[in-house]
Amino acid sequence: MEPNLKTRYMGLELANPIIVGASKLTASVEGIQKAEAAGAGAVVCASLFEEQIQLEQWKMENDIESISNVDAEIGGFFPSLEHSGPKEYLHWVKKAKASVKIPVIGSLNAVDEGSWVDYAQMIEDTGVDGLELNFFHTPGDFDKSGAEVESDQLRVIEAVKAKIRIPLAVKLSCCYSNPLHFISRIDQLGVRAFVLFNRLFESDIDTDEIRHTTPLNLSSKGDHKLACRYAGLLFKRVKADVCANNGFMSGRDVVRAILSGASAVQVVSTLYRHRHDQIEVMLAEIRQWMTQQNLSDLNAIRGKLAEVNVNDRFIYKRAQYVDLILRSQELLESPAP
Amino acid sequence: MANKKMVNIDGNTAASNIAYAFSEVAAIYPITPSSDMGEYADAWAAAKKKNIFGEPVQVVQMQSEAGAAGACHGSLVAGSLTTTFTASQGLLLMIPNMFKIAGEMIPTVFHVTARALACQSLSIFGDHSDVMACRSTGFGFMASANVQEAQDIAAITHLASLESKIPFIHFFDGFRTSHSIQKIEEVDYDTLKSMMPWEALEDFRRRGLSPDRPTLKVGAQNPDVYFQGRETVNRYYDAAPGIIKRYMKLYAEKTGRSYAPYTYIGDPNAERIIIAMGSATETIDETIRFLNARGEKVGALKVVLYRPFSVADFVEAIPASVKKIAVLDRVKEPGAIGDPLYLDTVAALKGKPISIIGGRYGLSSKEFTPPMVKAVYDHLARDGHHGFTVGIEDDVTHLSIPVKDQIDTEDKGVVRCKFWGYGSDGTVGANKNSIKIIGEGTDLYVQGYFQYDSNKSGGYTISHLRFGKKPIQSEYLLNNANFIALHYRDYIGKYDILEGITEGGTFLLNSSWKPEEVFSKLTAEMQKTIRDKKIKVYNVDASKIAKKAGLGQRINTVMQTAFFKLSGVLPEEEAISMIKAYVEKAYKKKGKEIVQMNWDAIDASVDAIQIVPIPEGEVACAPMEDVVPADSNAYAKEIVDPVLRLKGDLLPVSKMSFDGTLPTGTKRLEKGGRAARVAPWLKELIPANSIQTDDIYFEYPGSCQGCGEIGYISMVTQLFGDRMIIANATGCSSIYGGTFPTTPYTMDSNGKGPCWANSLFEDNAEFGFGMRLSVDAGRKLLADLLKEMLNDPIPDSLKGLIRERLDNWSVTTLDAKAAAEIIKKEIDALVAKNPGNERFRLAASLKDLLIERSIWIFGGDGWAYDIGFGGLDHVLANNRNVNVLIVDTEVYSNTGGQASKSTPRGAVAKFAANGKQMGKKNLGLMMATYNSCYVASINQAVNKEQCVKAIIEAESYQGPSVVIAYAPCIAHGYDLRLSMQQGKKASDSGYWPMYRYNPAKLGTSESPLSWDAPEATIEFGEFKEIENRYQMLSRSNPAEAERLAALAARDNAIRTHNILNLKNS
Repeated sequence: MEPNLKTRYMGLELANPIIVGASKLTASVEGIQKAEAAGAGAVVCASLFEEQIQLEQWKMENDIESISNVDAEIGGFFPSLEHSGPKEYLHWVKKAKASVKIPVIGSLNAVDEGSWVDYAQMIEDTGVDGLELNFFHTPGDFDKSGAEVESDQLRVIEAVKAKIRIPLAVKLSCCYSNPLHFISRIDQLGVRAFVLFNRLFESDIDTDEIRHTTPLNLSSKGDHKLACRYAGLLFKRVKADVCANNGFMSGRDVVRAILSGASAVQVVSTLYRHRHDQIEVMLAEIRQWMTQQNLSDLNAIRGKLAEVNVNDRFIYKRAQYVDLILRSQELLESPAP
Repeated sequence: MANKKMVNIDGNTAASNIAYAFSEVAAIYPITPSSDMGEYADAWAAAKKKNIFGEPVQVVQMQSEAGAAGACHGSLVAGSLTTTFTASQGLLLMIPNMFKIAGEMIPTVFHVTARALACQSLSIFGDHSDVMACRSTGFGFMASANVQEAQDIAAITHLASLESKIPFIHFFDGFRTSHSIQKIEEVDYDTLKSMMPWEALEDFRRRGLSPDRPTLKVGAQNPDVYFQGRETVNRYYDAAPGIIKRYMKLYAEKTGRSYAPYTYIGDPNAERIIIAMGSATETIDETIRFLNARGEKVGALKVVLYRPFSVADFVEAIPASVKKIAVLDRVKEPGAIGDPLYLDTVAALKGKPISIIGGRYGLSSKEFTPPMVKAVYDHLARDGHHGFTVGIEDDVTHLSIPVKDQIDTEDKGVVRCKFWGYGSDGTVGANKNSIKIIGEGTDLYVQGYFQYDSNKSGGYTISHLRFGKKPIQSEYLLNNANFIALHYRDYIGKYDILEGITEGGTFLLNSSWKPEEVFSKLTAEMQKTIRDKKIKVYNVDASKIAKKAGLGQRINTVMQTAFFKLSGVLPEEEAISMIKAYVEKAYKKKGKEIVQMNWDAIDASVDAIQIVPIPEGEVACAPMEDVVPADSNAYAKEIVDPVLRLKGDLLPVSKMSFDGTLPTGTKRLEKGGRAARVAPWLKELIPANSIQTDDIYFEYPGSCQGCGEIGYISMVTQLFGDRMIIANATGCSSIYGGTFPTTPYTMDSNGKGPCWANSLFEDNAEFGFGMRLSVDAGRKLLADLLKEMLNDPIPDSLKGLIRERLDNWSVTTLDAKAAAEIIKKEIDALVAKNPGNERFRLAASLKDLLIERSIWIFGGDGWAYDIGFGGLDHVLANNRNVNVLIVDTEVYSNTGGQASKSTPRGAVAKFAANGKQMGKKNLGLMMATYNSCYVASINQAVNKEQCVKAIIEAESYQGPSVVIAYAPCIAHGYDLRLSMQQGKKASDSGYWPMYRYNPAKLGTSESPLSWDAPEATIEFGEFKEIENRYQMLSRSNPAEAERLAALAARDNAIRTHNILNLKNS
């Protein structure tokens, strides 16, 4: 019998736990269709970035301005037009949703509280199955306390939650003083899922040119451990589902996430590296592992290695970390698993 | 009375806002300077703005003003309140319908930005020639003098028209009131609605055609009744002034602003007065206050209601003390006893003991200043002659009067600021913005007016800004300025930058020079002015600051900040915080980052302004630049030089050609006299023994950078330039081709080159066709004369040459041209020997036609697809040998990008704010179906050889031919440095077809159609993606953009399919 990979994530039924995350790969109707064709369980549309819309509005005004007042007869070449704001985004998301059968989740990153709510409602109106609030916050303000940052974000989530009916997920970075506390407070607002974690913008430095560079910020093999750790800590401790993100590149990585307690994983970097075929490769690996484990339903093992379910509670504790450091040489010399 | 709402707008905005309020339908067509009114109406309709009846106006663009007038007439007859906006030639095209509308007593208002008519030359600038040409139509005339009136008088006119049943022209001065930004009090739509004569509206509706009340508008009347029918309207005209006065009174009650049909201004006991209309009355008013304060008993009568002329009101308004009147007309009626307002005044005051003279001023926006007003009063005082002119020097007929006293009549508190900018560097936009900031943020009154170069790229702009505590009446350019900013340092030595700067004024320079070196970079004259007038000089390196602040090349924010800091319009601190507050308001929606970036730029600009030390004693200075080469001819030195230095106002009448004829080969004067080079690839493609290949015939056009038209004109002129005559439709190609005083058309080393003429916009095909008829007639007569001369006693050698020429009458090789030159000389010799021989003399008068002419008709798509289509169609359906080159930019480029029937579906253009809804007209296919017209569609970006081949085939075809050329334009909205790649995509995507259809091949084994386009290798979307004309719609209305894109792709496929069907003709 074919192993059952179905999972429920933020109230949606997914044929398998692999979700293509918000990225360039999901920034068009064709991209969404491609994800479905490749076998993804769901897809998160590229984020509607308010700042990007603001920049586009600025650019459109500049484009019009740059060819105006040419001579006495030509005040300008274009009629007075207003940028449609998020309409272009909403337009293709609506089309994308209508064109596929798998669940489609919208994604939003706004600036003002009012925009978060307005845009969330507009995205809901496209017919998407859920909405992911993408708190892509890069620290840069010396005057703002962590508490203020958290309370701003909680206020946004509460305001959005009050206005929309579709399930809500929150995508966070790991850079909070105590992510568990913050996640727990968000959980109490009734969100249906956490996506852990966002990859923050990281510029690099070219030492030959002595300047900053902005390389494509892909995750690396092994990055999955952070998300697994938090999935393990949160399992049964919060009502919302957890979607693990960052560094999930193989079927075994997905299994690791499920064992930790996650309901699903998001993949992006691995698809950039290996194209969409990688989804089928990962699914085959999961099935193969399940067959080896004589397992028919993936849900059966969800959270098996979560903090609440493991005897060795120290695996999630700092002491274990100290131990690891002390044994580092020994571990490095042992053969790879 | 409603709360005051002050706005800072121009006359076009003010008038069109009223027209929109009172109209249900607007039929429009672009023409400078009225285009903005139609564009605003169209944009408001697109944005669903409601008129006073709660509905958006139905705005429709027509194929010409004649079409717009016809649509107005139909809409009015069917019972809808309808308006239009126009000027100049456009108004002339409406005249036939205006007679009908007035004859049928249908109320409407046409809003006209009064503009000069094309006479010896076109002019886009303001005077009353156009409206005065409509005097006999039966339309009433109401004149506005400023932006406030352009709103108020417009409203009164709409109301009075509806009640009086008389249609009206409401006019104001083009490129003065139309484009001058002023602070005015806006009237709201509720107030307008409260004045609406509902019974008159009901009556208007009842008179509308309705099958429920079947009636017929009479089609024809005979001598028995027509005359009587004309006389039925008199009582309505008699009643109209009373109705107008009633609405003026009502308007005053509602708004607090009073008007009268004729308003007297000045000393109540004046003996000398001026009578005038339009914006000049503002300047006259300002001057009168100045003169009255100095004891001069002068005044003026300002005419608002010109038709129906109310003699009683007119006479009543003139004080009994008046003994002498000078009537000023802004129009010339050659051969008349006087100009129109003068004649009306004489008739109105018949029998009164008043001496009346008439004079002309201000044609084509010629400056009319307080010193000129004073000169008119002085002329009256000394019983000067009738028929005078003021503002020019007429050294031929000596009609002009001297302007001596350089009086400054402006209020002392007015701050006057002048800015010299470069092309589209953002200076004008920034100044419009500054007016808005100060106008909205303070109680100050503002005025902004903008001057431009005729060259479309790299030319100067001059912004004239005034700020004052009282309404500003100075309807003339700044003659004095407290603050002058030079945004482009290369103008030093070319223009008189500091002209009119006041004592203690401020001069701001944008340059990368160090402050201590700036002074030595100025001309000696500038240095003297700065020292004598104790000018404060500042320098800012705007480019450096702008780049650092992330604003790229755009220096306007930096220069605007410097203006706010230094001009003294506002205290410095208040000024800077005001500009910052404005930035925050304007960019708030665009995010904190953008606000901060602009704030940072403002702070950096303030810090970067450096005071320039003025050294004592002798210092180095910049030389005055030669504008034309030192060894130039008299035309260059006496005419081109002053005009290019912006001193053309000083040219006397004697220096001007009496019929508008100019020498060619003059554009190179602006380039040090150097000829441009023929492109090597073009040289290679020119057929051997056809024309001189080393000499260029078209060079340095003042078009936009990257203009797609230029390449084609270069090709045609280079192939046939030594024997071609060009009829050029009005548009970009006529502006860069024929704007005074220099032209890019030039001649070869034998003195041969293209002849060029522009008639109008709408008639160019017929104009060129007429040239063909003339050449055909002349050559026929010449051939007959030459045949007869073979029997005359002329040298055998000449007979031989003539026989050979006659046998090869159509041959135009270099050899044939050389032989023709010999024949010409021989004929001249015969005339010299036999002065009484009529045949020889007649032949000599036609000798230039020994070589066949190449007749070319140039124009853009606005002409070919729309306004001139009827004529083009007729000419191409004929069998005469004319060649049409359509440089197809797919919009009305010259008037600012309005949609034409060539505009592709889905592209945004003015009048197509929601994207062009219909597909591009397949003009080539339509003309090909005559099966007698050569048709080619070419694209230089893909294949220049195909272009040249098509042009040569078109020219050789013994019948009509049309070549449609793909011409990228800045209106397409991308960097035209990419136009070659983009042009290639146009054909690679199946959008722009390339083909030649030669009817000469019909009936032969060859197909008449040669399909020259490459296989479509890319999607249409790939072509569209960099062009803002398409992207604007994706950004403003993505769903509509997608819908239209799909239809546009289908258009392309159908177009190609239909053309390919010609293969089997």
